[in-house]
Amino acid sequence: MYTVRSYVRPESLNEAITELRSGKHNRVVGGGVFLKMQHRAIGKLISLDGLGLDQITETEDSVHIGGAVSLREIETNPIILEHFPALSYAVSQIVGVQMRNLAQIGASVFSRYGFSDIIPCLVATGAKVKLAHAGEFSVEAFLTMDRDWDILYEIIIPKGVTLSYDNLRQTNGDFSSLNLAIGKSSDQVRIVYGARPMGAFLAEQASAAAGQGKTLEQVTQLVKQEVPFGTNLRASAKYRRHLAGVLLEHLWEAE
Amino acid sequence: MKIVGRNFKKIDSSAITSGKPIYTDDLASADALIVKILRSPHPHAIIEDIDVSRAETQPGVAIVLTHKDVPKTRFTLAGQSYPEPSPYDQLILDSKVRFVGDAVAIVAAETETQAENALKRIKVKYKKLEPVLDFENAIDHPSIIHDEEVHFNLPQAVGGQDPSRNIMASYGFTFGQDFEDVYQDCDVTLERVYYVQAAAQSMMETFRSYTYLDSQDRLCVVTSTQVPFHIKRQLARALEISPAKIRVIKPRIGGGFGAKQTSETEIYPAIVTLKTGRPAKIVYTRKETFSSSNSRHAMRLTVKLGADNDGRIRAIDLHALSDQGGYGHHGFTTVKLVGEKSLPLYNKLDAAKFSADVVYTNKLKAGAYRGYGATQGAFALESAVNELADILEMDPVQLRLMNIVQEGEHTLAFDKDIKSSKLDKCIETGRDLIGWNDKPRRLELDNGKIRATGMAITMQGSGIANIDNATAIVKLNETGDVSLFISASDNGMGTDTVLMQLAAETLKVNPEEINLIAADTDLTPYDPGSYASSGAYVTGMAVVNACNDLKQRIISAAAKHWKVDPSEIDIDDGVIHYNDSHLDYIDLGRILSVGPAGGTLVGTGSFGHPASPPPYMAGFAEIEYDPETGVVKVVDYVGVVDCGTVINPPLAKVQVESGIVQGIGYALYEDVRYGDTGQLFTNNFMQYKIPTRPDISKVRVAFEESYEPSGPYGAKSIGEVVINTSAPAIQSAIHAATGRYLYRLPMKPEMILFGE
Amino acid sequence: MITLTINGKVHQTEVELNEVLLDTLRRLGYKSVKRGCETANCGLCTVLVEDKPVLSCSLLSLRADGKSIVTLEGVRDEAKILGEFLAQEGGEQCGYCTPGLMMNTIAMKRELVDPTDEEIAHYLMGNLCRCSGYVSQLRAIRKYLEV
Repeated sequence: MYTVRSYVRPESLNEAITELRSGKHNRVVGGGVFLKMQHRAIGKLISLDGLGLDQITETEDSVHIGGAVSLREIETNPIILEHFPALSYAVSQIVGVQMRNLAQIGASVFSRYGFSDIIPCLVATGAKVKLAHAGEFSVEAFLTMDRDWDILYEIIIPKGVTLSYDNLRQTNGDFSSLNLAIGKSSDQVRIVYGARPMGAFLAEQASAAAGQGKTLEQVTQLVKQEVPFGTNLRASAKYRRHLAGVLLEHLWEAE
Repeated sequence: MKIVGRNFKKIDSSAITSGKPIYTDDLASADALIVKILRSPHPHAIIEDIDVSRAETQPGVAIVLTHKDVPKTRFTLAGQSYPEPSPYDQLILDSKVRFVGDAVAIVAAETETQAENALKRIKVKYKKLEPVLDFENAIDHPSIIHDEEVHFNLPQAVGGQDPSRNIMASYGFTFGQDFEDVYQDCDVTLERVYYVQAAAQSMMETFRSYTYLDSQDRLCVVTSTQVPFHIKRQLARALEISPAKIRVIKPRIGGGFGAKQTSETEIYPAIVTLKTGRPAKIVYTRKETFSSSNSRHAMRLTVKLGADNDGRIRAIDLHALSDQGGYGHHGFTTVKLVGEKSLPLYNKLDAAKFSADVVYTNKLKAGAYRGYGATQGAFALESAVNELADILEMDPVQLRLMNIVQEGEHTLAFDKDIKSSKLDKCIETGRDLIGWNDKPRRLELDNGKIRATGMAITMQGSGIANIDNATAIVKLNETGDVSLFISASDNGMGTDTVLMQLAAETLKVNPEEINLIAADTDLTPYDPGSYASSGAYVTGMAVVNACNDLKQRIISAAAKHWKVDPSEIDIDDGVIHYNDSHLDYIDLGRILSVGPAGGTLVGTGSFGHPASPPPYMAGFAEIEYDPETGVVKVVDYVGVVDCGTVINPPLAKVQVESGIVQGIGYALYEDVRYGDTGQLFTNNFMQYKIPTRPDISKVRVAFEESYEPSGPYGAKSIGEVVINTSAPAIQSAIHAATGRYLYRLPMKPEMILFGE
Repeated sequence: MITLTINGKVHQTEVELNEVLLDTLRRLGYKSVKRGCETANCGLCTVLVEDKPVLSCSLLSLRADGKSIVTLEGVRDEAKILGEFLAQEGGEQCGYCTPGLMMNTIAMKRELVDPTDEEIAHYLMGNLCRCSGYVSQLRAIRKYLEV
């Protein structure tokens, strides 16, 4: 468990980012599930509960998810179920319903966990994130940028992308041993692997080949060439490389 | 019989399902000091210097203790009857640490935050020693883990211990003809090596203990344990105080599975309470429970089998190398059961041999876990027998039916008289339920997945022969109800309920008329505790004997009342009859509570036995294998058990289901990983994966009841035998599906897919 | 000072800044709420906050200020029905996971209509149990859902 010097519950996003950036030991608490497992000394702990960021809305061409939306809400929300049922499914595989009622998508994406099931889905759809300090970025740009002391307050997913997702886990509710999200729009295909165990990786060559109508075998070969896989407690790099082809085949056949 | 064999809810069920405060931490007083332990980051090191001055002065800190402050008498905390076969190789705090997570200092403070704050301010200077991490290279390793004087109760000729070589135990047995002669003479021989992991018991309630001084300044220990009496005796030794000054109370327990047969936590708040006079409690985190308590013994098992071409198994040799970790809890006894609870399954043998080496390593100490060696032995021997069946091109069911021990036989291996067995029926019923003869062992489905089946058999014991002895006391109260005093230490499975049924059956009273007072060393009679599958059998017979004793006293009292001969009196349904006269227990209680002829009637009964009657089980697994991913899902599991008479059908059934599922976890998921410097990586439920609800599909249970003449109403044990078949049955099914034999647990998808 | 409405009763209490709801609830006497892990895996600490099942081990008490919380002590009638089915099957066993399982099952009954066995297992995926092997609990829960 962390320690906290003070707790603040700002009334506006501006106030929140000002508070956050007022000290280098300050932290935002999202669901608090993973933060709780850290043993850090936090200065100001900033809650976003008062900012109304817990809404999912849609416009004509995109779906907007507030940073404080719970994973459970994403799983059950009618807008998500209509446009991105695969995202709902991906989220539903995480730990348990009581955990998903707490965990929030903004904090989850901001933390850029390697095991994330959500981030590969977002990258595959070409989603964007809005940061209170740094501004708006594509999710893949966000994954590699310097992003400390910021607040991810909104995620925007473009409509018109068909998302599919698959994963393999040791036991139900475990982290993925490997996951795969594929986003298909009228002009492109995006093939994204996550939990490699490193974070989401957009397989650009494979995606391009898939977009050009290449065969499953050709695309699989490109995936195995360009996507780095590693070893951890859950699986070896060799096994993950093998699974990468299996998951791709599953989603390919599901089309 | 009216009560044995009938469904009864657990006597604590309404308290449990309404969330009553009935567990150790619920009962601790709010002003108890919070005890925390500083733990070693090194697997093997000498504490050269330890400075607690900055910790002691932190706010709220009541006391800080190091190895300089604790008694110097070595002891064991393995919950076993005296003289314990586990070595006296530990102190409350030692100047040497022997695994990552070993205790270095004790802090007690007013709050948890204050205690943790103080821990950070203890400065320790370690002299690191070369650790022994590979148990296959522990013997004669240049590093000696226990170079101090270690006391063994077992003579060297029996235990074979030699700590100077890191050998905690080394011994063997031979039975029948010369093994090598027979083995060489067999038509078919097979030698295989298996590895099993140090699985974690993973009970939901972690270790915890609460201590205080009572009005007579005696140390009271409320603790989540399976062994209250052993704790009392061992605490007295560890703390160098009189056992008369200690009382141990077991409240409701949130699971144990053997983990709580070792007294992990009691010594810490106990020494704090003795030194400060204040109540104190310790609650282990899940991480401490994984990395600083105890686990199953990891082992390397070498099996040699010899058989005739017609399928008669003539020779079995089993050798176990057992990884004990840093301290010798349960080392000698667990490994013995590897052989003793597997070899006697087969009884057409000409020769049998079992030998074992138990080695100290700088890892988490091993201890007791449901199955206690039998589980490890079952994986090795049953997997080898299944492979033998394949070599012989025989049905493994037929091979078992040809070779198994039968009721009335004396076993060649380990010299057992088998007075009750329906193992043959268990195998046949399981075979029929799973549809063994109605479908191929391997079936490819339209979706490309493969269904396959496998089976295994097992045995366990019922109590420890010639060692366990339990006593029960039963009292007819003046209000006609009955108080039953026992110490079987129910840790959730329903032992108390079963004992209440046995008392009600014997006394012919309504179970609701029985009050059960359990497991308090001041109030209830001696019982070794809840382990070795002893509750229903050993304590159960003590209860039956006590109730029969009380019955005789009731008859005598009634005879005195009516001034007739006791032989003319009958008892039926709680009513005492003499011709047309009758008294119920309420009448008798009233009569006995008044005047010079009165007095409370108390029955006592004890039970210990020269044998440990084995329960048997046949397990049949049907798996669905995904040849693309290597993932195995157990889609159906049939367990058929001979536990003698089933005393409480739903509770017995849950034991079987639960054992099968824990066994599935052991077989497929529960991986144990250490880092290069001896730190346990799999130290929480995020990394150590026990089965979750969607991992488990169909589990089916049936009973084939034999009648065990020495048991209560024919009953034997059930708690442990049920965990043993899962791993070998699944291993066999995986072979049927893939053509691959797996020799290491857990059998993870990539091992299956790539053949390791 | 925060205000919690627990099982309909209003409590005002001081909490530490890093205190989680689980510890506050136990301190206030709601001892049915248990801790089984530190990694949000076990579900023993499940309570309802604003009618939703959450892990009380992970929710800061400060963030529950002003909210309505229900523990097993607060659902006596439903607990009696579900508890009776669990007890008939022997599915409560040691009972340490039982309060969290019961709270999540009660939440599930309110949320899911006529769930399949697979849906039940999935909804309760975050409730670990080591004693029962799960199947007796599933039998009990199926009966409860029919009430």
